[in-house]
Amino acid sequence: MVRTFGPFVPVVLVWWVIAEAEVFPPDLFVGPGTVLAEFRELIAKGILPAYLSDSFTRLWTGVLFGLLIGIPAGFIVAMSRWARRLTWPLLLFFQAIADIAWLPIVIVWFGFSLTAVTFVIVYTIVFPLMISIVSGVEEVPKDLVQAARSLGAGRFRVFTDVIVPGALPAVATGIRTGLGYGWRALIAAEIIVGTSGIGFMMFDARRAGVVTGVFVGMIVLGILWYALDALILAPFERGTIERWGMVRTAEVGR
Amino acid sequence: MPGLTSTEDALSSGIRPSRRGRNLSRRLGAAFWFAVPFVALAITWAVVVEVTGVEARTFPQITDVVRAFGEMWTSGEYLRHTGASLRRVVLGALIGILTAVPFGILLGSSRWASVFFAPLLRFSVALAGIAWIPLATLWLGFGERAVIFIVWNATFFALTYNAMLGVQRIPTQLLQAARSMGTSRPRMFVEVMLPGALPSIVTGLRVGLGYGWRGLVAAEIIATSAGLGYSIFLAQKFFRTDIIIVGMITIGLLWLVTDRALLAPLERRTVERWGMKAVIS
Amino acid sequence: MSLSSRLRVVVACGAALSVLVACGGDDDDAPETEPTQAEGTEGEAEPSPELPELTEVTIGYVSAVDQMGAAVALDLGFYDEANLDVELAQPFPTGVDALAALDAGEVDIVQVGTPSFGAVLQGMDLVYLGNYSGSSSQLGIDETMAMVASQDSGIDPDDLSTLEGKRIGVSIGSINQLYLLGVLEEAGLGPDDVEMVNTAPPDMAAAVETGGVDAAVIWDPWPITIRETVDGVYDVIRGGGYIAYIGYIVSTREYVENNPEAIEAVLTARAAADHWMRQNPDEASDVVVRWIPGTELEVAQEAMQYNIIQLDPRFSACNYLALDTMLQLFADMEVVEGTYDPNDHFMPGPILSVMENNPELFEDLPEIPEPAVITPDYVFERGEAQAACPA
Repeated sequence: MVRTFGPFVPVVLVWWVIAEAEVFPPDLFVGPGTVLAEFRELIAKGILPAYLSDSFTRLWTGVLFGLLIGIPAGFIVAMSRWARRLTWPLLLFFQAIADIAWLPIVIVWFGFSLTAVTFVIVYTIVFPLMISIVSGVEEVPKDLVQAARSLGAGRFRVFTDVIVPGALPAVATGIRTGLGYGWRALIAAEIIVGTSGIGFMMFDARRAGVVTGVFVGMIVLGILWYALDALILAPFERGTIERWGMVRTAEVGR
Repeated sequence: MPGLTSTEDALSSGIRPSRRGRNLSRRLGAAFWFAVPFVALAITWAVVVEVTGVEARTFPQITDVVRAFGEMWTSGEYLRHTGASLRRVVLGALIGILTAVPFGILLGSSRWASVFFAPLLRFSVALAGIAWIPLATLWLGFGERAVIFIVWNATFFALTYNAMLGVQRIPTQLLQAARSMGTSRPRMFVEVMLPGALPSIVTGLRVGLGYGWRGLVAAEIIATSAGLGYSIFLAQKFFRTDIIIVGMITIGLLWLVTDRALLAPLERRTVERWGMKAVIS
Repeated sequence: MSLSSRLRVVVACGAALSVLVACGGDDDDAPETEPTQAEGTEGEAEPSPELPELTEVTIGYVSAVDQMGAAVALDLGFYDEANLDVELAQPFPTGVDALAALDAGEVDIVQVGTPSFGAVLQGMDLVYLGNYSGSSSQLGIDETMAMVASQDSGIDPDDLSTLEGKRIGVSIGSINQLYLLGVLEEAGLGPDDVEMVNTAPPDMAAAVETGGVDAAVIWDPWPITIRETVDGVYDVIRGGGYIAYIGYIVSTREYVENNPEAIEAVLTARAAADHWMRQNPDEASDVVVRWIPGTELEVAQEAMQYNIIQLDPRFSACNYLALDTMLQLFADMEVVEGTYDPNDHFMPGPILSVMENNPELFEDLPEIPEPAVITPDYVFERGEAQAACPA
């Protein structure tokens, strides 16, 4: 923990110095003290928890549906050669359409609602996840599958005991990538649709010309994602690799 | 992969198609199989719209989209918006590469600097792109500069972080050997570290551009008067779902081509050439 | 840390976050719609045995000063008086969204202006039933549109040619763009003589302040808000009759054909609300402050002043002409594709009936010129209407 967060201390100090020296005009750049004060105030007023929970609810709903749809779909496509051939190009193409680009038409369909935002987040997660699972399953060494078969395992057992564990690192990677896109899509949606949430809070502060609110939002977001990624997602990904002993050619950063 | 078995058969039966011919038929085969799902999708689309009788303002028929594209093309609008978006991405990415790669390599060359900056960089990558839109538009106002800033921002941090990690991963024996041969510092950077970190750098570029492209679309919706993001958002005001779909397909194609035809092969080649696998940020 | 203890940390964090979600949030992303203190009933009055049952109607509106009639009618009980049980949907961010909701059947009636053009052209069968903003006695009416400029802009209100070469914030594809074009034309300038910067209304203030634009052209209350919040900003021009500002009460043809009494009742209630607003602008400003969170009272009061000049629910030939003129302008600018015949979508019957049955609600309004007065079977013809309506 100290190793992860410790090095930020000198950074905060440097930041404080820059702000105090007024290298930049104070209405465009504020120091850690001001940000902390604003942070406390937003929590005290209940604004920050409310916005955080709004953002989080949207993200969580989207992620849940994304996983529920993406994981089974990914495996179904991965297990059938024909399904793979037919859908792989489509998967690539749809993943290439930036999720944000779906906002306008989704707004036409669902208006500015939770459904619209959820749709965008689900979309953002499903495709990278499926692509990751399909390539993950493909990379499960064939001799492992054959070994299991020769030991008398039926198709189903091969699936549950060899393929799923083997593809688990890919699932973890897919989730990590999908989430990375997902929360960004959420922030963009909140800015554009603009009713509540962290993205909205930042943009609203910007409209009022108050940079402190923007800083607070960015730091909160950064800390949340950084913590999520560094403490949960990345180790999970590493752990699945270690646990099931598959040698992956791609290393995971730290 | 389809096509291989047939050439094996061809070889074994004594017919020897030329190497170029084999490659060509393999490529054509691959292209065919790549196109089939899209054709199927287009047919399904046309049929479903006809059968369900859905309104054009909710979901357009494929012919509407083709017509809209035609109109946008002849009026020059299509090129104007696509050109604006591309220009911003290219500029942002170029500036990103030019600033991030030297900086990243510099950081990577110093043990102390890497350790100090790594968490900060990682934090910045976590935040890269879209989350900077409110700040960017506050500092730079609406318009070109803010959008290019977002693309630069997304690519810069991902590239710096990965360049740094890439240099860190160069086997120390290699570095020591180069040093013991009396290589000057600048030459170390250019001839040892840069090639060594190249696979990581390319991965960083891929990740960064991925975020940057999305950030671009979002920033265009919010902050400009030209560009693909802007045009689809304007179309939404008038229920012009056909224009929206033209825009979406364009966005998809542009990224697909960039990623698959440019970046992925580049990544593969640098890995093959310098024999080290890349790092995911 | 081993994988299993990490897993425990994950579960703990997940639980903590779930608690946060449970404690922190409202239900979804609903903006505040209810006024902080509601006067009057919310239409939940119990029907007394002698009166007919209340008809349920859902009305959609956009959070704007000129759409407040919908809320005033609720607050002051005018819907109740018309035997209506009205539910006001959460305010929509734009007219486009209100129309999408109408399309989806989520609301029965909406208030919308130029966004209806795109919808009709894309096949929505809308009917225009009355105005929430506009005029039936003259063509040019735009008191609620204004241009404000920043301190250093160098724009001279008395010499509009100084607009040349300036950066002007405007919403591309919306009615303020047309207003700007009208003003430019008067000043002898063309659209290429200025740089139009597409800016969303809430972002205009920041754009003016940071120098992103020299001036902003926008509808109330934004010009007033910008002037109040940014130092040195001054009014350049307001109104002037360059365009016909249009805002209609619309519904789908299907709904109107199935619920004719409800329509007339709603129109009566709205006319009553409008009449009250014209007579009591200060109290009307209080309503605005309650229903549009974040509005300053002084801003609301000033905006209301201009709003009531345009508060004319009646239909005459001038309204057809207004629609036709604005539609043509949008088509010329290629903002929309093609036009349509106003006759196909205006349904003046109900409002004319309301006008006849409740003349006291319209007494204080300027008289409709005799040649422009219409009957339910009126057929619009452009030349005739132009002759009948003063510009």
